[in-house]
Amino acid sequence: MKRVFVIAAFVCACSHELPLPGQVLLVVDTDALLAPGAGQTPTHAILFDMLSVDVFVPGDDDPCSGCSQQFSIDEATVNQGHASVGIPAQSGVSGYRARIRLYHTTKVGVESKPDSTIETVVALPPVDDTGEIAITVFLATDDVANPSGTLDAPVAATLGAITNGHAGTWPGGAVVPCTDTPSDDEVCIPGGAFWMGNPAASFAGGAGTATDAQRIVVVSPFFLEAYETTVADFRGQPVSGVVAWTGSTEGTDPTDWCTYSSSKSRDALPLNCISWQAASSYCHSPQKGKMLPTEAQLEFVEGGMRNTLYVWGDDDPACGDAAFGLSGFGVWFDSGHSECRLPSSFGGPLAPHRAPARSRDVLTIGDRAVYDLAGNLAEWPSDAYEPQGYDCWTSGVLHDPECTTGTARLVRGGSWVSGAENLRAAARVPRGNGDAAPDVGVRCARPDKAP
Amino acid sequence: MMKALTIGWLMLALTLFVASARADDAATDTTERARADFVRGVDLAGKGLWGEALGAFEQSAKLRPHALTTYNVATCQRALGEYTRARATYTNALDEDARTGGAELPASYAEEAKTRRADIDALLAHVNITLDSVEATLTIDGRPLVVEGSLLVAGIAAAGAGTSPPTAHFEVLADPGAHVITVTRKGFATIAVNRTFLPASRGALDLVMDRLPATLRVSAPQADAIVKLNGRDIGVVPVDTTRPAGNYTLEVVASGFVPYRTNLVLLPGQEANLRAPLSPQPPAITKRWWFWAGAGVLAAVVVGVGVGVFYATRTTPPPDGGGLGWSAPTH
Repeated sequence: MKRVFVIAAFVCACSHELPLPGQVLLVVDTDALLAPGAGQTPTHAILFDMLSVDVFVPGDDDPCSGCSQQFSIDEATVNQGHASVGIPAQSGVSGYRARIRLYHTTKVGVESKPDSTIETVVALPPVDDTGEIAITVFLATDDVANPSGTLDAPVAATLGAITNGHAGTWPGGAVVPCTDTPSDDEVCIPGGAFWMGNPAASFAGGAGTATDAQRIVVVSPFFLEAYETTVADFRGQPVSGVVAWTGSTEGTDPTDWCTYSSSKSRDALPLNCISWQAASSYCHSPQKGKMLPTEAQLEFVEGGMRNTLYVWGDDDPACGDAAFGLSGFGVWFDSGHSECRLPSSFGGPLAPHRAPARSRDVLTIGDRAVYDLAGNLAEWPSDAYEPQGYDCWTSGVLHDPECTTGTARLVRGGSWVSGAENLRAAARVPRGNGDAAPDVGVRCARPDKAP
Repeated sequence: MMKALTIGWLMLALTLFVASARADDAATDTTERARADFVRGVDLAGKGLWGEALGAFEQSAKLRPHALTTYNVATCQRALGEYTRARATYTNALDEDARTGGAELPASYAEEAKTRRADIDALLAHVNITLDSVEATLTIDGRPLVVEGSLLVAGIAAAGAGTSPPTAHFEVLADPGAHVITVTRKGFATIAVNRTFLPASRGALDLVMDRLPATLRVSAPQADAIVKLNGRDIGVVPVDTTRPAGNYTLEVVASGFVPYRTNLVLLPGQEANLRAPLSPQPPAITKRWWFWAGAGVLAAVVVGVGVGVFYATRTTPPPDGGGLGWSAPTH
């Protein structure tokens, strides 16, 4: 009987679970700008939102069956060291690899795109029969579109797991306030980072309008005028490069919609029919002492500084949200968008919005606001036009880019002539250097002073 | 008119039978006897002896069928109040005459047959009968019914086994007067009802049959065996019991014997004899020497298997899926 008790005690003391088979615990860390976590308000742009892990067994160049997984990722998960997965492996066998991707899907799609992905392929260390080996993989924002490691030459893993991650610490992502004081007609645009280009914003707007390539752009703080330049603002400037109003409202010539006139009755209208050269000269004039905003600066603010499709958000506009769809009269009969024009109306640009309640085409920053970024008049940026993918617009991380090669120009933002899709922040339309069209105007900007 | 036709039978019949008798010597004798029966029937009918006259005419018709003889049979039946039979017989007379091209039945007789048949139709009783099963058979006055279109006609067929109706609901054509309606079905109590139908009446009759109880007799080799039906003691064998048809559980128990249990299905009216085969109870297993020896071995095996199963089924813990809860299925 005594033996029976001994045996029973031995059996009860044994665990019914075997020890954990050998595996790698892969922990992901990053400095990327992620969503802060459930219930928290972001303090910066969200540049990445999805993590994928693919595991390759020795000798294979495709992930093993079921060995690919995607995770929606946020800052809290990473910074608490919880961005980790388990990878069981055969004891003592080398050659296991893992490909980790951090990428941008918001409003783009769930698939990873190389130009918006931070990728690394890491070699997994051999494991024993039991026990766990932790490794940490760091994904640096500066490595976006520049993968490290390959399946044939994976990078070595860093042994050990982190307990505190670094999400949100990428220096380029910091929101940088202006140090100078804005004038009365200016608004400070704090510096920050955003995705320039947006596949979801590409549209059939003609040759060269594609915007589906992406890169992270870091914009330094700058000042932007709150309104498009008016006829009154421009008065006294050389009129070379500006086409004046014909005095006619018959609509038999496009210049019937030009706004500049010696008559003060048109002072409140935004200035249009101005060439790029004249616009640039105006902003650089001694009276202004400014410059045209860059293409990146305009897209930054037109996306609400948070990568939305439109300045107000991601929902498409209705008439009244912005000045668009107001053509279709006279010579514009067949070519312009008229969905928002009253049948008896001549159309044309509207006096710059000074009452925000009338429109959603407003970017409010602190106690100031910028108006008519989406519609009313398209605006000249300082950049020369270069199609995406050329030297000016590579992937990766760009700091205050400005394209100066070539003589062709482009305009950003929609206008009273365009349809809703042209109001998207990423929309860009090439124009000739000397074009002085009724749908294009000017808004000046200036950089913040160095601290 | 009827009287005139009846008086005319004799002369007409003699003419017919004389012509036929010359045709064939072999048939002469039969014809002569048919003629004799015919004449006798006419004589009896003239005296109002309709039953006897009917017999004579039927005999004559058997020896030598003739439409006029059939007509006389129908007339006798009609006089006897056998209207459904007379109706059918008049129809037969007309059919026979038609088959001879109208040579056997004078036109006035054919017309009279039709008139009388129509009179009978107006006189007969119509009864709508509903049975609770088409498996039952029906007789009226001991005679099965004859199917005539959608009707069942009583009084025509000779006495015999009942008729199974084509449907549970049917219409019967019967002579006015008192009748005995009998319905039989195996396992059910026979229904015999008396009904009097007035001339040209229309009525309905619903006949619901009662299931017959089953009789069960249970016996067993052991005189003191107790019989239980549906768990209730009904006595010591032999037991005779009458129970409604249905399903029963029978149990016969006796001390020292293996209880006998069976399920019975007693049919309506069934007389079931059942002898329970009781076999002696085997000695208790716990009294056998090998029981405890086997139990010891079994206990040892159970303990051994239990320990073996414990170790054989030790589970691998779920892999650590990390903070994201995912483990790559690399194996």
